[in-house]
Amino acid sequence: MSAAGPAGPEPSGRNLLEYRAVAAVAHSRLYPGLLQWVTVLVFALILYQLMLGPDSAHDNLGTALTWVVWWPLLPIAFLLLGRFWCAVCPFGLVSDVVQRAVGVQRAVPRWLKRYGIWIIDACFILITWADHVFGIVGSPWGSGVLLLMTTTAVVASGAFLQRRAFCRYVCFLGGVAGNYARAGMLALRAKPEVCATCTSRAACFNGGTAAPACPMFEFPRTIDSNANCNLCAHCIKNCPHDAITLTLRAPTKELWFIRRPRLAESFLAVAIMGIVLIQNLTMLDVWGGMLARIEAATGTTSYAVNYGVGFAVAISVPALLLLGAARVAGRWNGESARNGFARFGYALIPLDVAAHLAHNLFHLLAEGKSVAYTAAALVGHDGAHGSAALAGLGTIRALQFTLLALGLAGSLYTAYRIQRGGAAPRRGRRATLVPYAALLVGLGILNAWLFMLPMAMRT
Amino acid sequence: VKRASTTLAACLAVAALAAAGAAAHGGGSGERQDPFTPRGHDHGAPADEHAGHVHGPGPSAEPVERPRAAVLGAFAGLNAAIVLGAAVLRRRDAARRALVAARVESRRRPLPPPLPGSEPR
Repeated sequence: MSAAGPAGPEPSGRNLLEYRAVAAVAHSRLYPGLLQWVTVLVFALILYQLMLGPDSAHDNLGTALTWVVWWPLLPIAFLLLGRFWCAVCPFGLVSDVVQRAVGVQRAVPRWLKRYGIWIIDACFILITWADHVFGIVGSPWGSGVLLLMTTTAVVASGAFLQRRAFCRYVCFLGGVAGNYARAGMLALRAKPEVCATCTSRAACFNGGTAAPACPMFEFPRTIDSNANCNLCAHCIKNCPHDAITLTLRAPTKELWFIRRPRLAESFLAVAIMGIVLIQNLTMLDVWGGMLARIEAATGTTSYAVNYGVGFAVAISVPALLLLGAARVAGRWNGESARNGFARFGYALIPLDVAAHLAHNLFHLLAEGKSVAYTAAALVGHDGAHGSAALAGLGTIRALQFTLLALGLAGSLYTAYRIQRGGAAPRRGRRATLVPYAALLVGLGILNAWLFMLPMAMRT
Repeated sequence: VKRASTTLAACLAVAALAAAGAAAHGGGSGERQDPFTPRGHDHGAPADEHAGHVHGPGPSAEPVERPRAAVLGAFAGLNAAIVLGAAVLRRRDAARRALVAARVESRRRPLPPPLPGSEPR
């Protein structure tokens, strides 16, 4: 269950479950199972291609489907549909099948519940570092091995622990999804007045005859964030009073109402910003010169070490800047730097999403056709070797800058709402906003500047 | 145990098939991939070229030997071990639960009527 984190107000939009089509899907026994089986089949094809298909990423359908289609579309899906992807993720089905067959159903260890978010942070940083150093994206073999390792972790979790412990407490993508889903447009909540009179012994949480228990350990009666709801609709099926609502809300709205901010979640937001910056940087001409300077400083030519240093600096810079802003703001409002960091780290999330989308947009629009080419090659059709671009560079850049502008506006407004929120110290509220706003504008400009520099390569 | 043995046998069969498939595949016959220049990107290419990459085979290079059989075998073996371990634990847990339930049941059961002639004085 959600013990901490941002809490939004009661949902005010129309309940989407009042629409017959949405309600039919949510109550259907085929949802989400049918979609899960489809994704499992696609996953099997991808894994087969990655492990046993062409060694060249250029000709590998698994690489194209994973890194040109799925990966760039994922942040968009998080923003529009929250963690819906997690409901249909093939790993979820693998975990469920293993659990049904041999699951021991041990309770999730307390340390995992407590430090899971830090494990997610560490995994996310480690995997993005390894991706660049070992060329996971550019190597079908590397991508395949990463998927096999993830599958093993999922099987272990399903075999020994309850529900989808891996998805909730370990999955690095789930951590990113959780952060982005907070900025998303869908909110699943329960009607408190109905829940107060419910006698069904928490069928929404424990499961019932209609559907299994909530796989993400969320109790709809107390849910106040969509960070850990994967919209699997089990609670909707199990609720005997139709007390669950699914409403549309303004993007980033959940971030405006923070009661108990968590340092680890804010740190993940900062880390994502640093990772997007370094990923963009390595695509540019200037990266060669920077790498040479790092080599001179470390005295080694090991790319793993030198990239690791650049990577650590890239993550540290936004973190230190946010810490500095928190210290400056603390002089005016008397808040500790730790609290300021934890509270205003959430304001980075809209800019994170925008920068991530802008970065991925290049891959999607500049290489989108390659999926069709590799698929055609797979069935023996060879001849479609034209441009892989779906849009020209001018269009892509215009879209990138538009996204960044929207993300910056969202971040600034979120910071404004956070400083007005109930958890904020009363003293020096307006002055508090200044250092955080300066930081956000600075990061927005830095991202835009990186998109304007000449490219050398991409990751 | 029977179920666990079946699962293990299935996993081992999958591992053997994967290894055989990998061996038949020749252990890698593609091109060498520079991990830092994926998918046809040239270092130092002008910016405008990046919005319209020419899709086609990259420069030919020596084939790369991948330890496919070893990796797939290790994957299958490790997962089989996990599944087997869980199956054994689950069976043990079930046996313990049954034992505890039997004890509780025996405590709840009312005492049999005293035998004739054994009433306390």
